[in-house]
Order: sequence, then C-alpha cells, then structure tokens
Amino acid sequence: MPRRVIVTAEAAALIRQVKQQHGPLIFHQSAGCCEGTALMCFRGRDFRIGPHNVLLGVIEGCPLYVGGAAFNYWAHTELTVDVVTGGSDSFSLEAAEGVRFITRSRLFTDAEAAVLDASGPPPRGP
Amino acid sequence: MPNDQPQLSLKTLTGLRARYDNFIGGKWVPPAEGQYFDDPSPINGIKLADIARSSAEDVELALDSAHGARDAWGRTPPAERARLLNKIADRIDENLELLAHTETIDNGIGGELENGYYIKPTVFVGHNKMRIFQEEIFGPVLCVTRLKSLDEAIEIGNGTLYGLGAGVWSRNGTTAYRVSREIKAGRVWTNCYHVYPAHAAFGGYKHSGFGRETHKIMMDYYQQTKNQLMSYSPKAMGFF
Repeated sequence: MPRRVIVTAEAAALIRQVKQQHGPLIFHQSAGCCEGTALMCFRGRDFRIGPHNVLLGVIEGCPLYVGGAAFNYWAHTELTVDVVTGGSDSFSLEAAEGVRFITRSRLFTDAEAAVLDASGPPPRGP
Repeated sequence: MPNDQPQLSLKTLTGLRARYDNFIGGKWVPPAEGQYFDDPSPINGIKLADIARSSAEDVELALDSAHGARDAWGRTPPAERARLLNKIADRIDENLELLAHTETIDNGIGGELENGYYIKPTVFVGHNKMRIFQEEIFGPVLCVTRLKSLDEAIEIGNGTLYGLGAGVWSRNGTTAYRVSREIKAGRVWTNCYHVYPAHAAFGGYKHSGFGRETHKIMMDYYQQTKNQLMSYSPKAMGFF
C-alpha cells in the first residue's frame, strides 16, 4: 500500500539528531495560514493530539499528524518530509539549527488513490 | 542605463541579441521612428536587450502584412497547415534549451539572485477542491476558477474551512448585498478591499478564529456580567 508520508535521508538524519537532543518527537502538519501550513516538530509531550487529528504516518519512529478537517484536502497527497536551510523564526524544534523541515507534495496516481481509498481512512486521535 | 554595467552571464548563455526589431513579413524591421526601450532583467534590473518602441506606423505595417497574407493562408489546405505546425513544433524542440533559459530568466530565477527567495507573480487556474485554493500559501499568487451562476459563486466562496475576509464586487446593489450577506466571513469588503477602519469588528467564521477584535463588543470579553436585583421597597420582603 502506498505510504502517505515518506522522508528523505537528510530529513531522517536530522530527525535522529533532534530526537537525541529532545527525546520522543511528534510532527504536526496543520492547515491554515501563516505558520499553520508549516510542518511543526515538537517534543511528544508538548503537543496534545485531539480525537480529530489524523495519523498520516510514522517517520523515524515519530508520528506525523494532520488536522482532521484539512485531511479531506490532503487525502490524495503523498508528503515527502525534507530539510531546507533558513527560516529559523519558528517554534519547531529543528529551527534552532537554522534549518527547517518542509513537506513536498505529490498527488497519488489514480491507482494508488484507489488502493488507499479501499483500505479505509487512516487512524484518528492519539 | 550606463553601458559599463555588468551583463548577466545567462545572457551569453541564452544567446540573446543586443537589439530586437519588429518581426514583420518574415524579416526583422527596425521601428519607423528608430526608437528603442530597455528590457531589464526582473532579477536585478540590468538591461538584457534593446526592444523596438513601435508606433502606429509599425502597427500599420504589421497589419498590412497580415492582411496581405490572409488570402494565401485561407487557401492553405489543412495538410499544409499541419506541416507548418509540425515545423514550428520542431523549431521549439530544437531550441528547447534556449527557451527554457529565457523562461527561467523571465521567472526571475538565475543570476545573482539565484538562491534568493523570489517567485514571479503567478495566476493559477483550477477548481475549489485543490489544495492551492484551500490553503493560504501567500506570495504573489492568485487562484482563479470558473463558475456559471451566482449560487455557484456563493457555494465556492463558502467552500472553505476558513472565513476571515472576503471581497465582493458588483455594480448591481441587490447582488452586492445578497452575496455579502451569504458569504460566511467575518469581514466582507463590498466594492472595496483591505480597508481596516479602527472600530470595525474583525475576526473569522469557522476555523478562522473565535470572537471579534477591535469593535467595542470585544470589551465584553474582559468584563464580568453582574446582575444586581435590588428591592426599593422599605418593607421586608417575604421572610427577610
């Protein structure tokens, strides 16, 4: 089955580094404006997952959630978590290193989307 | 612009000429009045080439040429037109590298700002279910979609998780009023946009927030509501 979230080697290495510094992590890709559309990386205990949050996948052992309402628009998008330099004015943990996690998007092919739709909705909540 | 300014290296790469005349009737024709204007790079403003500043006389020349070609083109059979089309396609194919570089310059990428945070103002055409329509991505971009009726316009306008600001334009007062009433946004600008009077309530419907700011009603959030029930009667009331 196609995975909704994949991660580049660079991002995986950074996740391991941040995890070493801060312990278990959680990723949240919310929707909205401003920082809302950025991928945020928090310490697991700092971000409370609500019953509507959708678990899109697990990268390097860290869950990645998206807001429930926004998921409707993201359901057919494969996200690749990557790293770019700059943009360090964020609450996301990696920002202190002068880098940012970002998501790159690819629309699933019709065949991939059909497989995902047939497998039912991804889990919600913590 | 002084001539001693450094030229873009991409210019040599793309093989741009220093001067462009009008291409009329299959050949380069200098402008009738001999005037040219500078075509600056969107990246750094450095001049890329001289472009013919055409006058009415040049436009007449081009129109005459087009009129002259009309009859012959009208007689050109579809098979011949197809051959020409393929020839043009082949030329585009042949010059792909040059066109790609030119397009890249036109998008403001390359040169000294190559690694800068820059994107050319862009209009996207699509439909309301696309993420680019649903998310506020900022930047100099605009999303445009097609619709057939006023009801569909309202449905699209409300087809979002958010509702902070909206804009309605119409010369018809009834339409302007009806649509601005039906759009679920905390502020609907009608025949204006992005004005922020000090005392106008600001805040969003749906996922765009709670309550309103700047209007005096927001003072309520900072106050207690107290109900004092006081009898003015000098007599005891009931048991008291």
